[in-house]
Parts: sequence; structure tokens; C-alpha cells
Amino acid sequence: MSVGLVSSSEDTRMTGAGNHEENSMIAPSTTRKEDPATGTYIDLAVALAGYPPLTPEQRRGIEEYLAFAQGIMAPLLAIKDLGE
Amino acid sequence: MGQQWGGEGVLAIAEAVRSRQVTAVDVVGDTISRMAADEFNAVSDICAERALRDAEGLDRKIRAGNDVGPLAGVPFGVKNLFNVEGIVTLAGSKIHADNPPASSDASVVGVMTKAGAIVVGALHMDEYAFGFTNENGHYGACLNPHDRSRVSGGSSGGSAAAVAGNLLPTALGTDTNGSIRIPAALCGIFGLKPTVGRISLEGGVLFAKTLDTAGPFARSAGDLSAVYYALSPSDRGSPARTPGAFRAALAGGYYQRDGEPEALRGAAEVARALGDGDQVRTIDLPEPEASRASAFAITACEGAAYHHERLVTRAADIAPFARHRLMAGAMFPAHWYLKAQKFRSWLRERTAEAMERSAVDLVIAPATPCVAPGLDEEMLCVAGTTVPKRSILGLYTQPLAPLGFPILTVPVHGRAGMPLGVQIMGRPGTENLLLQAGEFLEAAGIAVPRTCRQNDTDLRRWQEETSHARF
Repeated sequence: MSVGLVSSSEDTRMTGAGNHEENSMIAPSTTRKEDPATGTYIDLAVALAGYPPLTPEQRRGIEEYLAFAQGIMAPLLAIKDLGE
Repeated sequence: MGQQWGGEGVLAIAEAVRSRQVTAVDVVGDTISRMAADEFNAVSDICAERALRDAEGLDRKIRAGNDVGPLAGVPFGVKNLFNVEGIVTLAGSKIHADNPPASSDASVVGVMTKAGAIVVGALHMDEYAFGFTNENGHYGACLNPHDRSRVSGGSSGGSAAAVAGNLLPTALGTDTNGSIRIPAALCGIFGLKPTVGRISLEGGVLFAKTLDTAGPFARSAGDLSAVYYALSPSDRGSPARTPGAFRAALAGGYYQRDGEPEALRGAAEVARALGDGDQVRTIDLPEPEASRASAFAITACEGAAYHHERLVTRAADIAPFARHRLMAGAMFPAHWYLKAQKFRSWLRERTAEAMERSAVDLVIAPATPCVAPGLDEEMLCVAGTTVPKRSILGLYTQPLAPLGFPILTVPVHGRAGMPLGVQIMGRPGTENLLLQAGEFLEAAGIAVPRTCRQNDTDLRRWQEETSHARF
């Protein structure tokens, strides 16, 4: 299966910062030499959500909101026994 | 224009129209003038031609001696996510602006008009109902009628501002995480979030379908009751107050932290007034932080699913605030959503048990932790802590959302002339009891609605210079 992933490097290309990595279609099994904190998680999720390539602004906004979400979700995720 | 109408409330208008002291055409004509002179950016669109036609039809029926319903000639507006025949349903979005006008009314609009009310227009809101401030990236901020440098609250801000600002006697909104309760509180009027599932949302643009509910705003508890019973007539027979004091308790713990003193004091005063004697009883609701998280996850996931096609094809046409949150919602792990829904069942049972154990029918909590923030503020200092404006307003409303229980918001005095609100929550299906509590508090001078009028000079000038044909 080939899933279109938007790499962090593509973002820098889109902003004109320049880089040498031109792959914008990368299978999920491709080894990415990125720290997960820099966006690998988001890249996978973006592809699965069916979104087109993100702009840097969109990426930043989504990252910030997901970070906020992790914090606000913690009390719920900490509850282990909700019965059947 | 015929007889001037001074912006009376729901019950006064219905009585005057029924008894032919004033015609529905006069009332509606004056309302259209007020809405057209809107200074709060509360009005999204006006259906003047239709409203006057409906009013003429109603007057004819009255002259013929027919019963026209409990809301005879009462003008009303709806949050612009409900279809109103002849108006484009924007849902606060630029994407929908190119859509044709709705070809039929949403269910709630139909129910209101069957009760004799006249739909006059649609009211501003946060984009796709995502927000607590009603600062819309496409259509501007809805201004607080009591201080136009402050927000109205959202997402049903246009509905609340139109009622508080005396443009309309009543309006309908929706509440997912606080979207009726917050603007009602910040604008100083009454608002009712009915039990989830009680009022049909058919013909509306949804947000989070398992949390959404529709409800009314009004400037008095009696007016609010009249509108709610028109929307749900069978609820007149629902559980009501037993003789003696209400069985009320103040929500403790989480709901007594992180709010400005006047917000906490307002809730305590309401609990004291509804209770038996000076002693304020308290009740601890289970897991408020987890409850807020469950509402958060459900909203993000259901909102993202509902708007998925638009997010894929037209993300750039959604303003950043809603866009990033909705896009992120599609990336939440499935187990977050499933756990949030499972938690809701657990929470409902535990909350009902806690209320039963404490012999409590009404749970009291502040609606917001502070008065309406300024339009240009992103961060606020609330109770000594600097917090983001857009999330702090939901501090006390969002944790109650997953329950789906009915909640009345009543207005109380705030600070610096700005109002605050207090939430009164009952068990599912006890709207009747909540409305009785609201009327009791208003009569006792505890719930004090705050309304204001637009600049009358501007209104008169507009009336002289324009005609209804403009719309």
C-alpha cells in the first residue's frame, strides 16, 4: 500500500527554505529519520485522514492543538476501570 | 409603520396580539427595523418579506376568531445553522455562502411557527459552532450589548446578543459544550439547554451530534418557559417542584476553583436562595476533569467526521481557529473517542447516584469563571492565573456536557456592570423544574436579567431612511 505522506521537509520546501529531499509520496513503512516529536505522527495521520498536503501554518495549528489535546485528555485516559 | 412596539417580551407580545391591542404586522415591522439597525453584529440575515407575510396571515386568523397558538405574533430569530426557508444557512462559514437559500424550515422553526411565532431572521455564530467567544473569522465578532469592546460569548452569541440587546424577544441557539449557557451568562439573560435529544435538530448543521441540543434565550424566566413549552408541549407535565424548598446543592471541588470571586459568589447565592435556609449544601460531581476531556474528545472527533469532506476539499476556506481543531480531530486515536463515550455512560450513572444519595434535584454551578472578556484579549487573568480566553470560558460548562442533562442559565450581577450567569442542572426530563426554579429566582430578585437598548436616535433615523423592501 502506498500512502501519500507529507513530510516535514516538504513543509520547508513549501516555505522556500529549501532542502534536498523531494519525496512527497512515501510509503508508511519507509524509514523516516525524524524524531517523532517533529511530526512523523502527524504525517501518518494526515495521510490517513485524507487531507491534502498541509501548509506550514496548518501543521503548526494542528500540532499545537494535538499537544493541548494530550494534556486535556490525561485525566480521562488515567481512569482504568469503567466497568463493562 | 403602524403602532410603535417598545420591545416587549414574549408573553406581553402574545397577549397583546391575541387581544388585538397590536397587530402582528406592527410588531414584526418594528422588529425588522431593530434588526436592520443592529449595532452588535448579531444579525446574519433578515427574512422581512416572509415575516411580514406570515404576520399578515396571523392577523387574518385572529380577526376570524381562530386560535393562533401560545406565541401569537412573537418574532424570533435562530442561530444561522438552522434552515429558514429563503435564507442561506451559513453556519458561520464562508464555504456555505454560495449555497442557495434553504428551501424549507428546520424542525424547530416549524414548531415555533406552528405555535404562532414569526421567524424574522438568522443570527451570527462561531464558525461551525466551534468556539466560546463568537469572534468569527469571516463575519467578525458579535459584540456584547452591555460593552461593545467585549465578546458576546459563543457559539450562539448572535442569538444571545439579539435578545439582550432588545432586537428580539427570543431566539434559538444550540449548545454542545456551553454554546447556549456561555453567551446567556455573558449577555445577562436566561438560556435553556434542554435534555439532549429532547428537541429535534433536523434541518440544522450539526457540530457533535451526540452532544448537540437546541434551546431558547429570553429576557425573563416566564418568557423562556413560554418558548420552551411551545417547543416541547409535553414537558409541561414533567416532574415539578414539590411543596417547600427546592432540593438544591452547590457543586463543590472543581466548580469552586479557578473562577473569579463574583462568579463563585453568584452560584452560592443561587444555591442559598433555592435551598432551605442559609446553609448552602454542596455536592461533589464525579470526575470533572475527565468529564471535560470526554466532551473535548467527542466534540473533536464527531466534528471532524461531520465536516470531513469540507476539510479535505476546502480547508483553506475555514478560518484557522476552527480549521486546525477540526483537522486535528480526525487524527485523534480511536480509543480516545471510544473511551470518552464509555465514560459518559459511567458518568451519567454516577452523577444520578450522587444526586439521589444527596437528595438533590438541582445542581448549581457558575456558568463562566469571569465576565465577558475583551475582544482584543487572547489571554486573560482569571483568579490570579493567566489563561487563554477561548478555552477558559468553557471551564464550568464543558464538564457537564457529556451528561446530556438539562441546564438552565440564570443571569446574576457580575463586575463593573457586566453580567454573569449561574447554571442550574437537573435530571433528564426535568426542564419543568428548572424553569420553575428560574421563575422563583427572578421573583426573589436573585436572577436579574440585564438588557439594553440600541441607540434610539440611530434607530429612529434608520426607520425614517429605509423601508422593509430593502431586504
